[in-house]
Amino acid sequence: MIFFIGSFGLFLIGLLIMMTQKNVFKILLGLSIAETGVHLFLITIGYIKGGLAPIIFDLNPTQMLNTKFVDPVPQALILTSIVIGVAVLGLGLAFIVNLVKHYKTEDITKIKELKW
Amino acid sequence: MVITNFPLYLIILPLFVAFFIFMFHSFFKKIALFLAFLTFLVNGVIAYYVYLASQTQSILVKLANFLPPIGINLFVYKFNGLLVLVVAVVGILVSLYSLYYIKEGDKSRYASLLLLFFTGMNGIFLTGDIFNFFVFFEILSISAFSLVGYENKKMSIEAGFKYLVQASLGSLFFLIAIGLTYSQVGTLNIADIASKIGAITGPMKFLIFGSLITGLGVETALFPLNFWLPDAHSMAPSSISAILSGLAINAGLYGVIVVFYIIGNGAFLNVLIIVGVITMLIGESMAYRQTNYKRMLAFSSTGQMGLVTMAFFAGTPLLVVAAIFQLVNHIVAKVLLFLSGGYILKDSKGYAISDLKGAFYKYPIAALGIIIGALSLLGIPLTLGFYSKIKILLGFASLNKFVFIVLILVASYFEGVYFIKVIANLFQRSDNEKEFSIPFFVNLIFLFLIITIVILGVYPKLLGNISTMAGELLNRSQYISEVLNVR
Repeated sequence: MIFFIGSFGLFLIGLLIMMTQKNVFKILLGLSIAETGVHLFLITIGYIKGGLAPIIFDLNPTQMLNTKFVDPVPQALILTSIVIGVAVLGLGLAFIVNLVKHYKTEDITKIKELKW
Repeated sequence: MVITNFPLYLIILPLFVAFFIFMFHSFFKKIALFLAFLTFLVNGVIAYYVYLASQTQSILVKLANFLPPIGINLFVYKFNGLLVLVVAVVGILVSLYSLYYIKEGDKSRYASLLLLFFTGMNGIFLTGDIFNFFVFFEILSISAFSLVGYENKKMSIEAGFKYLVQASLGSLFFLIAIGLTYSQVGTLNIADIASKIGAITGPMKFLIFGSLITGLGVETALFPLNFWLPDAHSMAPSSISAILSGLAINAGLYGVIVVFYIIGNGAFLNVLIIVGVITMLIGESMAYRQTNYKRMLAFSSTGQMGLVTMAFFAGTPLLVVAAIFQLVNHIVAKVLLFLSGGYILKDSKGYAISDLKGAFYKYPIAALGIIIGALSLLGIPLTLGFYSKIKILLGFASLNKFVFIVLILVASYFEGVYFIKVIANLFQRSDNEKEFSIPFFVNLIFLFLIITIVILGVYPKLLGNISTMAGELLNRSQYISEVLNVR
């Protein structure tokens, strides 16, 4: 339960940073923190207290039945998701470099050429 | 029900060529776009055969020979068979257009990002696994962010950054929903989730579907989540605006359809109808105020998406058929409007509607493209839009929901005003003497799209058997049993 609260808290911290900060770099950091929260949440789903890594050990079948294994699927999902997160972060940083080049500022409230 | 690996090439081919071009991009500087065009031609042939095969029997692709629900499977039924064909045709046209339209920048990067975009599109439509869906969704989004900022101008970078932040936040919600679903039913296969969704009740169900609609709504441009759309669609190169407006938002809509019809068994449809109505009214009334041609079309896309959403999720077979027609009509007409208008305005600063003055006399075919596209979105007889809009109105009339009919007509009024403003501008004389010639093949693209709209408007049956597609979407037990009972 503590892990669920922790991961949800991390997600909320990230969201809060994205909503309150004006620096474009901090907004991207907030996105990254929120993403970490989601990853932790996915890990928690597959976690079993005292469980072993889901690898076939040198055990006989009855011992296998009595051993607890953690769920490997969420871990596989997170590996994929981390890679996607890195791609988004890298692309976002590239955008920021170009934003600062064009606008000479990092303040999102001053980057306002486009309006509804 | 056939098991074959054939549809897999729709994903492998563009993905392979994208990275092939990217790896040897210094060799392919000159011919990268042509190579992309050839790839799209082959892709089109494959998509045509997949479409033909899927109309008689659904196709299942089991990857690594795992039987569903284990492993990842692709599943082609009648509806997504049609979508894959439409995407492939648009791919051919847009890559041919890019050959003439894209003049600056590193063309090999552009070509490989364009191919990655279509990899994502095909993957989204074909996959039968919800996490796989997420991955293709991200491939689509990441290539779309980069393509929006491709011209590296002040405003296109700003639009790309806004799009990146909002869409990434949306996909986080989608990931949370996948996690919650997995924790409840212990599977990621769409058919398997659908067969076990009854076990999820109460607040958890609300949480899952809330996160899903938040995640998918950003890409589908549903109302409170669509602030990025007018910026991104108006600041991208015109060829990219066309595929963002015509295809990318439909990828989001397809996700919503799968989630709410096949997985969700018709839960929370009323919420979607109301969101659709609000999106339609706000989109059309905002488009009415614009002076920038591409920005107006972007808001009009929001409005059209609202219309399609409300028709799709009203849930009667008649309305789902009408919504599928309107979906195809919106793709064809919006691609035509962006490509033709974008070419006429390619040298103008800011794409102002007033810059279209006199275009009919200088570039008759491109101007005809704008006129036919606008009329089709408005729903004037002899175009596909007439058929679909009448069907939507009749569908709501048969449900006795006359409020919706009034609202659709109000939205159509706004649509009429701003499209007639554009058409009137085309016929005005201007003192601007500058003129360039439009290449033959670009005119051919416009002619092809114009003829498609008119022919489909006269013989809508050419699109295939839409009513069985609608029946298939509404009858989820068929989907579930076809995927899970494979031997």
